[in-house]
Order: sequence, then structure tokens, then C-alpha cells
Amino acid sequence: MKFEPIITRNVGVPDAWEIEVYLARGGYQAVRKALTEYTPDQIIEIVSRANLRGRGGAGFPTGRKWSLIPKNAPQTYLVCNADESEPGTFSNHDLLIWDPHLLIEGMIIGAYAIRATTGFIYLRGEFGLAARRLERALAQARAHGFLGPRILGTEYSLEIYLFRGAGAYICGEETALLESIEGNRPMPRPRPPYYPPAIGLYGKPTAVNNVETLCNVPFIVLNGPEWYLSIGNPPKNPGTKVFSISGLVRRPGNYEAPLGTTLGELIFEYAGGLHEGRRFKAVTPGGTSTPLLTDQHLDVKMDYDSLPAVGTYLGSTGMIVMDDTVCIPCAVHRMSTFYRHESCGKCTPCREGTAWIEQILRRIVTGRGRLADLDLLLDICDNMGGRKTVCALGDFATFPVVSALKYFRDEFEYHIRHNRCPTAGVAVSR
Amino acid sequence: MALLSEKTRAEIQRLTAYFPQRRTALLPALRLAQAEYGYLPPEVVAEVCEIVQVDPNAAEMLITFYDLLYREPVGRYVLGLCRGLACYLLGCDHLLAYLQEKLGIGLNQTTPDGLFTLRTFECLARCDQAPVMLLNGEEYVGHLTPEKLDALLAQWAEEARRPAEPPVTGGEGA
Repeated sequence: MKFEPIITRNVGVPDAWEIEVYLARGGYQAVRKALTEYTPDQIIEIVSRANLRGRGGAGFPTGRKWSLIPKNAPQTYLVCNADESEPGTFSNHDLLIWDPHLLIEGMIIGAYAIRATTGFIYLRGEFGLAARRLERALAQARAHGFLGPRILGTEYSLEIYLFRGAGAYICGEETALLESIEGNRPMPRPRPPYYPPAIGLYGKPTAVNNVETLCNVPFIVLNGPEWYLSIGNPPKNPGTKVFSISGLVRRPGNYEAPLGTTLGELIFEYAGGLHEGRRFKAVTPGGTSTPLLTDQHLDVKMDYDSLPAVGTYLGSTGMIVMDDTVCIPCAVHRMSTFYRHESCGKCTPCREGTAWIEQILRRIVTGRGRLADLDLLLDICDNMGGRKTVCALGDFATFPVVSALKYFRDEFEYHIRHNRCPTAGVAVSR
Repeated sequence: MALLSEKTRAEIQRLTAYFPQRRTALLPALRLAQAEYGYLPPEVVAEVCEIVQVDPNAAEMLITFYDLLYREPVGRYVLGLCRGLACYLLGCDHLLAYLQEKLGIGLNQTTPDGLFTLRTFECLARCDQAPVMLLNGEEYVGHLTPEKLDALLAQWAEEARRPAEPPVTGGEGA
């Protein structure tokens, strides 16, 4: 591969999840440096200067998030969001399976920065192997004195709990995630007043960070912000991103690349391009919860600021690639079944809207559509999106629909007029 | 009277003291109970709630929400095919039809011998191995083909005939 991986450097290394291997490869040196050479405020300063941005999707500056935690609070929490569920995204999954100690090391530094003595890893319920690896890694870290009371002989103490979900996309939304840990039905909380840095887990100030975000932290502490700002697309988009590329490409997989790598490079170089004789049609740049991109966007830089300029988002960089055999209305219908299933039901526009979108798309792809359905879909989306719901799921559900109608309206019209797919049929590449 | 073993009850008891707040143990406790009993009928839920000291309605709020908690009995092997977009592009619908035909059951049904339950999941976050499925809510099996499914089903049926360790089910970890 053309780029030397940084945070995924241990993925594929034999027994990388064992602490001996992790230590032999330089592990836990960043914790030692952080706890013995820096104050919590200096850690926040370093991460702020590096301009690390949240890898879960929103891209909020991590240092600023940590600086929002009150310094004199008697109890604070660091929570790692490992509920990776955005369709098309599987990068955290590999990090958790291969390099659980890297996450633990990042969490220790993050928790130290916000003066938290308790951390949680909220792990997607389905991730059985990752759960076993994390439990083992936490026990190893405790035995080696990286967790527990007085870490490395300092005054700082930390305990980290592993908490497993039980199958619900909404738990990736940070306030729903906190409800889940508290033993409640996991529905998002209204903000205000429930901003986690003010009122988070158990009502206490809480920072919720994504797995990949935290995995960047040890490298920033070890090598410094200037080093970090030399990678990617600085100053606003420094560092790397682990892109999950799947669908109809030759080499599906996770590829760590500098932020700002173009869409075309990722699909055609990193993921090996398309199957023989196929043409690129569309991709979900940041999971299905981001507007689609098409062949006119292959030169777009994949980062937090370049994608909004073309009407979409970096999201979780879950890139599902569709070629010219794919029927877009069928693909979008499949995406809509996800939102219908995963809407938690709290807000009426999302609960009702996701169901109507799925029903209307279903009648289109099964040959019972009407041309008026297309504007009806847009009208429903208009009634769901634009912050009309407590969390962003309502907006997410509209993105694939609205963008598909923007770029591929002719395919929907074809489906309605001819009662069949505009392509050879439902794509099956084998 | 107790439906759960002494071991599971003790583990749930331990969890209530382990987490910073007692109620945090509710979801892990339900997963443990299900790992032992197979599913969560009201009597089992009541037992869990008595130990955690919450109203059974609190547990109902979770069981009716999460995909991995079962209200009804399931087969020894729960086959959870992913129906996400990446798996769809690689033919998961054909595999679902194939399994229905081969097992002679519909979606969300269990074979009469109690061996296999067929269900689907939304995107399982393993799209690089599409089409993929989740076995018993825990273990991933990727790059599925009809031939691979044939071999796995035969292997699991054989496994079930031998008196052996029960298969991995949910409930490990915290």
C-alpha cells in the first residue's frame, strides 16, 4: 500500500492483541509520557493544537470537547463509543479486534485529560470476538499497572468498564448510549439541557469519544502536534482516516489513508477498482447516512470540509461502492429499511417518516409506484430533516433518498413507468 | 423455583455491585440470563429484576427494544443473515431464499427439531466479508456462498448430535 499505516499499524500483526506484543511494538509509552511529563491541561492543549477531530462522524475538535468538561467537577466520565453501526462502516471493528490496547492507551490519556477516574467502553452487542479481546486486554493492562489505583506510581487512578450493547443502531447516538449504560430504554435525550459535557452519564460531565479518535491520541502525545499537522490535509484536516470500502470493488477492506485523499484514489487505487467491465455509479461516502456521491465527484478530497462543499459529509467513511449494474431505487429502498427498523420511535417525524419512505420506495421497486411518489418522498423528507427531531437519525434517513433523487431521478421514473429495474436487475456480482 | 442457576444468579448479583450504579447491571444481567435460559420469558425476567432490584417493566423496556434480546424461544443455532446494503449488493437476498428453502422455514422461524432459527440483521459492520452472517448473536461468518452454508449446516447438525459443549451464545463479558 502506498501509505504507511499509523493507527492501524498493528492490524494483521500476529497476536497484536496480547500486551507483550503491544509493549514490544512501543505500546504504553504514550501513557507513561502523558502521566509523568504533562498535566491534564497540557494534554488538552496538545490535542487541541494537533486539531484532532472526532472520527465518529461529526468532526468536532477533540481538544475542545475535553476542554468543555468542568475542571473542578467532583466526578467526570470518559465514554468510548464503540457501537459501530453506521451501514458500510467496519473500521472500529478491526481496531477493536486487533489492537484493543491502543484503544485502552488512548482512553487512559483522554480520561487523565478530563480528570476522570472512571471510563466506559460501550461496545456494539454483536461484537463477540472484540468483547473477549477487550476483556482480556483490560485485565492485562490492570496486571501491568496501566489501570487501577495509582497508575505507574502517579497519583492518577482509573478503572475502565466494558459495557456491551444488545443490538440497536440508536445507541451510537451519544445520549442514547448513555441511557443504555444507565439501564434505560435507549432513546436520545433533548439538548438542551442534556449536553454530555454538562449533564452526561449518571448526570455528571462526560466526554464521549469514538474508538478511532482515541486511537489517534497516543501517537499525538508521543510525536507532538507538529508531526500530526504534517499528515493529511492540514491545518483543518490533519491526520489519517481509516476508510471502510465495500460493495462492488475488487478488494473490499479497511484502508488507512491521509485525510484529503481523493474519492477516486480510494476506490481505484486502495480498493483495487471495480470488477471487469463495470463503470462506477455511486458511493455512500460516510455510511448510508450521508448523501451519495457519483462519478462527477471522483476528484473530491475526502475530509471534513471538502465534502460539505459538494453537499455531503465525511461521516464514518463507510464507503459502499455501487457500479453500473446496480439499480439505484432498489439500493435506496434497502437503505430505507434500515432507518425504518432503527428509528427509536421517540420523535414523530422520524418514526412516521422512516416508515412512509420505506413503504413508498417498496411500492416503487415492486412495480406499483406512481410518478407523484417522487415529490411525495421529497415532501416527507422535508418534514423530517433540518433538526425537526431530537437526534440526527431523522436527517440521516432523508440523505440517501434526497441525493438519489437529485442524481438518479431518471432511474426512479424508469422504474415507475416500466415496472422494472433500469439496469440488468438486482446486482449480484457472482 | 429458581429458573436460573446459582452461578448465573451469583454473577448477576456481582454485577449489581460492580458497576458505579446498580441499574447499569440490568442489560448485562438480561444477556447473562438469556445466555443460560435461551430466551427471556416473564418468569426469568422477574428473577433477574428481583436481583437487580428494578421493576419488571424496566426490563420490558429493554427486551422490546434490543434486537439481541429474545422474548420467544430460539433454536440452538440462530443464523442471522446481514441484509445491509453491502451484503445486498453481494447477493444476501439469494442466500436468504436459499436458507429458507433448505431449512423449510420462513424468516424468524425455527426448524421443528429446534436446531436452527433464521433471522436477519441490519448492517453487521463486517462489509468487507459480505455476504456475512452472525451466529448466535456473537460470531461472524463471512464470504458466504450456498456451498459454504451447506457445509456449515452439516457441521452444526453433526455437532448437535454429539454430546458436547453448548455453542457460544450471548452474555460474555461485563
